[in-house]
Amino acid sequence: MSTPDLSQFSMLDLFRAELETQSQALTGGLLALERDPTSATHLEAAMRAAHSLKGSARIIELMPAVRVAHAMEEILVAAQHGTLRLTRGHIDALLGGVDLLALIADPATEADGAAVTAQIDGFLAALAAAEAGGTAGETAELAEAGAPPSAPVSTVASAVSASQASEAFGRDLPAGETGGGERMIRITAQSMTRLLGLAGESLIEARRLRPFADSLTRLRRQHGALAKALDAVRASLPPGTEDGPTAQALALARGTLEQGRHQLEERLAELDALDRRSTDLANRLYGETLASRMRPFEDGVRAYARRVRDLAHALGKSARLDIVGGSTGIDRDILDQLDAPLGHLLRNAIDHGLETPERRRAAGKPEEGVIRLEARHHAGLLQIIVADDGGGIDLPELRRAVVARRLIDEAGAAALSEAELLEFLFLPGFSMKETVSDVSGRGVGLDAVQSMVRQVRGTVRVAARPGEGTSFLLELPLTLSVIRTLLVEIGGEPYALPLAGIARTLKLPRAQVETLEGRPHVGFGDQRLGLVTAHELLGQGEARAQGDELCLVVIGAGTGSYGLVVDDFLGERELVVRPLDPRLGKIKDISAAALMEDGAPVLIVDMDDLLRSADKLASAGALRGPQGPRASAPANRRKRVLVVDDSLTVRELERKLLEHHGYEVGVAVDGMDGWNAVRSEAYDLMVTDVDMPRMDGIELVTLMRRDARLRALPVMIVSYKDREEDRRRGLDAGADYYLTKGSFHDETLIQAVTDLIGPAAG
Amino acid sequence: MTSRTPDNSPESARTADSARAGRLLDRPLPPGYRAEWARHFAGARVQAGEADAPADTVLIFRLGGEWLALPADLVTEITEPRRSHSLPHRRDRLVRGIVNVRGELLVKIALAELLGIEGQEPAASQGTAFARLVVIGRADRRVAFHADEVHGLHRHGPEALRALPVTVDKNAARFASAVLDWDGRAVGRLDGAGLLDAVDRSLA
Repeated sequence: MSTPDLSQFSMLDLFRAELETQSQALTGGLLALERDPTSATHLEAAMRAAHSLKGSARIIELMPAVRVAHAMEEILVAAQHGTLRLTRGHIDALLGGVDLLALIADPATEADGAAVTAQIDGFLAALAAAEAGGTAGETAELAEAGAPPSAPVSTVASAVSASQASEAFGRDLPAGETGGGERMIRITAQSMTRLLGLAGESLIEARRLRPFADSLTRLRRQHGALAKALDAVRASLPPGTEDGPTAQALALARGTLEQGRHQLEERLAELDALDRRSTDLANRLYGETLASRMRPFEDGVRAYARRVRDLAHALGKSARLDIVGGSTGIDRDILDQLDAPLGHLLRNAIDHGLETPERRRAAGKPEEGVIRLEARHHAGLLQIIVADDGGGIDLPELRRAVVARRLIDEAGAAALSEAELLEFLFLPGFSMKETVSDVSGRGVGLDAVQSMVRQVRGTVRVAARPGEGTSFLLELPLTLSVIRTLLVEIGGEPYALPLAGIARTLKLPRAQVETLEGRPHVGFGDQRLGLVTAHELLGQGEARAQGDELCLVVIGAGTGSYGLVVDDFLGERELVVRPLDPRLGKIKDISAAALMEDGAPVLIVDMDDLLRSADKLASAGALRGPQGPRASAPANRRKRVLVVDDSLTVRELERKLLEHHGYEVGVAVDGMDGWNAVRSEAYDLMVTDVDMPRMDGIELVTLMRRDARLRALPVMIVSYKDREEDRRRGLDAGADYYLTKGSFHDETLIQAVTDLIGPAAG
Repeated sequence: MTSRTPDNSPESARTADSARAGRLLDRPLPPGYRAEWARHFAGARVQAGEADAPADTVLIFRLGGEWLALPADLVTEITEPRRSHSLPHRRDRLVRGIVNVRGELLVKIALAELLGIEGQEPAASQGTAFARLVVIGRADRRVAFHADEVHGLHRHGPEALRALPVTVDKNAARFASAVLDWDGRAVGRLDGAGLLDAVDRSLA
């Protein structure tokens, strides 16, 4: 280890990773052996661990570790063969050996070779002493254990260790391994969520102390007023009665009051201190809990080093990955979601960025290309840079490619700035490579990167210097768990709109609203902005009709923007994002929830969803805007029937039959689907099958009969089951009509439908 | 006052009262008194011994006009009612929104809706009734509901359970498993697992 080059460092990293797992097994085995010194399984486990470590240490030529591991292995093998019985002294010495291995593998001790050697000698001596303390006749064994490690390491051993090593490289290294950083522990997502919840709750509780203290301050003021009143009474006593019983009683009252004031004063001071301390404590607890979601950058990207090397070789290039800022903390969720885009960018850098070794030589660069993967915190954002030292991007060539793909005309292309030109790289399907390689060039790279980065509310930019390289800069929020939002009131409840999805906010006099074809709009810059109420999009109540001003949030971009009408702006908040109960599924227009300072829940709006909902409503002509419901009532509505059946054939047959007779038909594929459909839309009749997955017809009918609004909705059951008890079961559950598919004629079905709800046109 | 001296000063009245109280407490026991209590305690003992089947603990609460009982091991928390936030696009009346319990956001349901209990006026309850938020369920499948009144935990043996009335029993979608005698009332004992399954299904 005298030549500390980079490859040696990464091998040492590897050894440490293996040491972490193996020493756990070794320690566990040794502790068990202390209780049961002849247990074959534990002897085997411990011996195997020591053996693997010896092999690995030999591979990276960490000779001191080989010596220690070898000595340990010898003892354990002897114990296995029964020539030696492990004593407490042995276990102590062997455990010391485990610690010693960690010390040897620690890069900090590397320089101090002499001290380590001394320690190793000490260890071997301790082992020998333990040996001597044991039964006689094993001195030969001992001598060998103490001897220099001249024994050849079997090929099997090294092969095993090598495969283990590559395994460790390929998978995400355990969180307990941070490359010389602090020890990490694993924790389940659920207990993390709970921890965060409790920390947030304690913060909310601590914040309640301040208003409480304020209310006591008011009490103190009242005491003051009371004292003044008593003084006034005393002053107004008739002359000559200053020493009378009234005056004495007054003095007593005044004195008691003074004591009370004094005590209150003291308690208030205590409360103030308590408030400060507990708020500070709760704040720290909360901050720490949030921060504990962070993982070092290196944890997520260490595995890339190997991939970069292998991929470069596959392409006939030579490259190494240089990780800078590996200890930078990154939110676990972001780190997970970065995996794909970073992989993309690295592949791009190797394939597009780096030149062939010949070209690099010709350009006077070292043959081995360097790809820098850097993470740093900058101005409240996480910046990740993927930079190569390749040939950069050929701007004239890019300009030609843009024109050739008819994305812009020649004059326009010539006018584009460098940054604008580079933006084209992020267009879907855009690639400068003429040939599609296995690795990249299919034109699906950078746009995917961009959309993935956007998903974590980040941006990606590219910069290039001809001949010097290309670099991609990813700017991401430090955490996904905190989001900046605008809090608004919609239908009497708070909602949080992520700032990233808001173009701007404005308050307008209601008089400025004009309508076209009954749809309200206002002037906004040089465009007319169509208005839509948040209430309508969310299906939550009606917009406030009174008040002179409209609160508008402009969402969307360009001509596709909407003026979202909300009841009130409540201000800007940073919210800690909390997932909703997964059983609820994805709720339309809502992405997550959060808690406000007072502990009340608030919903975070999914802005993309909201825009889509607005588009959908606008094209369906259903938008009402802030004016209130349109006056026209649907005239002569056709009767609507919901058909619930898991068989496509039956479903379609019934649908066609009913539509043929003028009914409007909705379909659902099983009971659960039907239950959802019948609750969200108005129907006049439901026709359902009995045997269906997820929820059968009987249960569906039972649920409906229990729902106050659906109780009266007629239900017809159509089933293959024609036994009397099946019929009885259906009708018992609350169906109005039971029809068997065996006697399935259109007349029968239509006749029954007409009997139940009358002809289609009402 | 006493029949002896007509002394009306408070001092002497107090003495007289304490003397009377002393006489009352020191009076000889009526015949059969000890035997009666001995029988009482001995009897209770015998009864407890008879109930070999494990006693069951339930939480007794009120929804509208109905008193109901849920297995206590299903109940994770009982707390004051708090502000909930409704969920958009949920047209069913079962899910009432989300509510913060100890920093965790739980779905709040209208249990009365699931059980088909109409918004009846509560039967006049003695004293002040406090509405409560009850959290039930296990692990990550928890849910909160509003109870108009919570009596508390009640331990009962199998002898306190009665069969359901036939009108309830015949209902294919019932959640009650038995009727529990409690304090002169008939309390509907709910089948916890069935209820939770139904909640899970209706949340989807």
